[in-house]
Amino acid sequence: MISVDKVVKRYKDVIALDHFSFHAGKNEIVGLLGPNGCGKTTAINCMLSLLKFDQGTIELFGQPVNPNNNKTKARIGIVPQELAIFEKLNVVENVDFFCGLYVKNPAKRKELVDEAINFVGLEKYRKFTPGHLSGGLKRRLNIACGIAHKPDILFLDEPTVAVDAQSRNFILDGVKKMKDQGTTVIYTTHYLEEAEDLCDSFVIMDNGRNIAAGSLEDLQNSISTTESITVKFISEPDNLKELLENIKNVNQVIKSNNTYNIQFDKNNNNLTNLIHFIEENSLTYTEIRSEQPSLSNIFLELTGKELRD
Amino acid sequence: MNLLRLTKYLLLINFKDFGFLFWTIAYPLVLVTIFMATTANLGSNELSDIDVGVDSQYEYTAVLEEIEFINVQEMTESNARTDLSDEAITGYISSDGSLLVEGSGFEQTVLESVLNQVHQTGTLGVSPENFNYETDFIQTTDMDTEPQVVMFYSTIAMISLYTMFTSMELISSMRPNLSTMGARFSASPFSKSLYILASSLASLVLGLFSSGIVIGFLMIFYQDNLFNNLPATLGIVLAANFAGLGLGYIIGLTPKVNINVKSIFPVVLIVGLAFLAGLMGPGLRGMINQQAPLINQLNPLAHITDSIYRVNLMGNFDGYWMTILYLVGITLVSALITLVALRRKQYDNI
Repeated sequence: MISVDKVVKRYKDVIALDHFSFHAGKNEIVGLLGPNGCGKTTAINCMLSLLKFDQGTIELFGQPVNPNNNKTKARIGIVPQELAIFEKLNVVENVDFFCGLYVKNPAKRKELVDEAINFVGLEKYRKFTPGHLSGGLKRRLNIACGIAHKPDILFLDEPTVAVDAQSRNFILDGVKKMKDQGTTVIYTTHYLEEAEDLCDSFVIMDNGRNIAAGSLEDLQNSISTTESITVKFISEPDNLKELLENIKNVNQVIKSNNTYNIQFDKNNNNLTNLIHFIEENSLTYTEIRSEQPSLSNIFLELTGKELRD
Repeated sequence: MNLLRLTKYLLLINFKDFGFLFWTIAYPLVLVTIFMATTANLGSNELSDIDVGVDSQYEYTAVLEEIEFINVQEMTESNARTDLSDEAITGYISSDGSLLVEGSGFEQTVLESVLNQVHQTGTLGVSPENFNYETDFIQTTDMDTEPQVVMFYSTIAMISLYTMFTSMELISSMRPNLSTMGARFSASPFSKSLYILASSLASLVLGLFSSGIVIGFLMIFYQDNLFNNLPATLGIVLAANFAGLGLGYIIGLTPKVNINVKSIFPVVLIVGLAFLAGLMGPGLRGMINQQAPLINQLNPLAHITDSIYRVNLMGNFDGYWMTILYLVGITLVSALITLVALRRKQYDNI
């Protein structure tokens, strides 16, 4: 569906996209992650053929992007980070206006508009103007305006910024539903937990480059930090910390009262090995928890900084 | 979406906007109401009952007696001076035809003009009795003595360029380098030319609507008929609306300037041009015409004001078609620049 290959985009002396590449298939939610200024929005604008780029190729639906290709444009939806709605039009009018840019048939458009409004849960607010909607509801309206025509590819740029928990859940559930209906979603966000929960694959960007891409598992395998197991012991010998450190592949043990956080190097059988150790030493415990590196850990290791830096 | 539906939405967006309603409808109405209230006395000059003292030897006494709005009394100069001091008469005409007045004003001006015409007519050998002083006087002098009409016409000229605001906003909202809304438009398959057409249509409807409201208001509530030639007035208002539309597109297309900042340009431009064209009184206009005539020769608002004035009060079309041509020229040049700018579909920077 989307193929971006070695795209270079310069703003005078600044390289916004530096041989940036990624691919997205049908029904896939791709998280485009990176700190502010890393080139996410530039990449999206290039894919939307709004921005010229200096090198590389971008193909949507197997066709090179072209600002004159209305057939391709008709299959794309865009939900910009900033609200792009008319303050003076009510919910129905706003959605109808933007849907009208894609769908000429009035009857079909009415059906799609109603569907989009229901999809984002704004059916009770049909006659409300944006000024009378909360921040979260405005965001939902912003989304409804971008999805009413049922695009095959949807670009969602930070759709959950500054929204309440209820609206956030509504938006995330909606994105999942869209995927189920066959839409490919390019999703940019600062919220890594949200991306982890939502996306099938990820593209981590920094300084205009794609520094890692793939599923969460692929990314977890691409970094040195791996599994971390936390055990809360009931009985613990004095030298338990040293004993734990001698288990195969253990990288580090951090003790806090009777709770031990054991970090392992790459291995598939860490939890099994630990349980064997506990049984052999007749230790008792109340809680054991295994954690794979989160997207935050991956991001931190790959970029050397927190996403919100 | 078809043209009419899009135009409907663009009209709706503006009609629901308090700023639009205030600045394009309420503000001009308030302005003309204030002008009407503050200049009511200036416009009430009646051509009647001008008492004039004349020397018994003055040769055109009989002619003056024939003029309906002049009351002639024969008297000596010394008596006349007393009556002038008491304001019992407006002026005194001595035997050689010279006019003696105390102070200046509408009646004194009228009297002087009539005397000049009587003497000029006499000098040319034309019988002064055969000359219609009243008609000629009304045509030439009423205009000089009613400065508020210039203000009303300047107001109409100013409103006629208000299309600048709507066209500026509408064009800005469709450019991805100017607004996020523009990204939505440009990423869609929607026809750019259809959008421009709908924007132009909506701006024109709004512009003509606000011009119409003010013209209608003046026709109903102003004591005199300001629009003796309404079709010609509407013609120039229409041309001015087109020119405003074009200028608004150019301002709207200015890159890297926030729309709120951009809105200041037309405000300054229109108010400035209106000021120079006589909106705040014809005195400044006259001074500029004398000191720096080029300013108002280029000022479209001055041309519009003059043309409305001429077709309605002077009954002539001097400069009318030139003004129309000038406004059409502004429109065409603006349209050309807009079209060139809009050919661009991709940007180096957003």
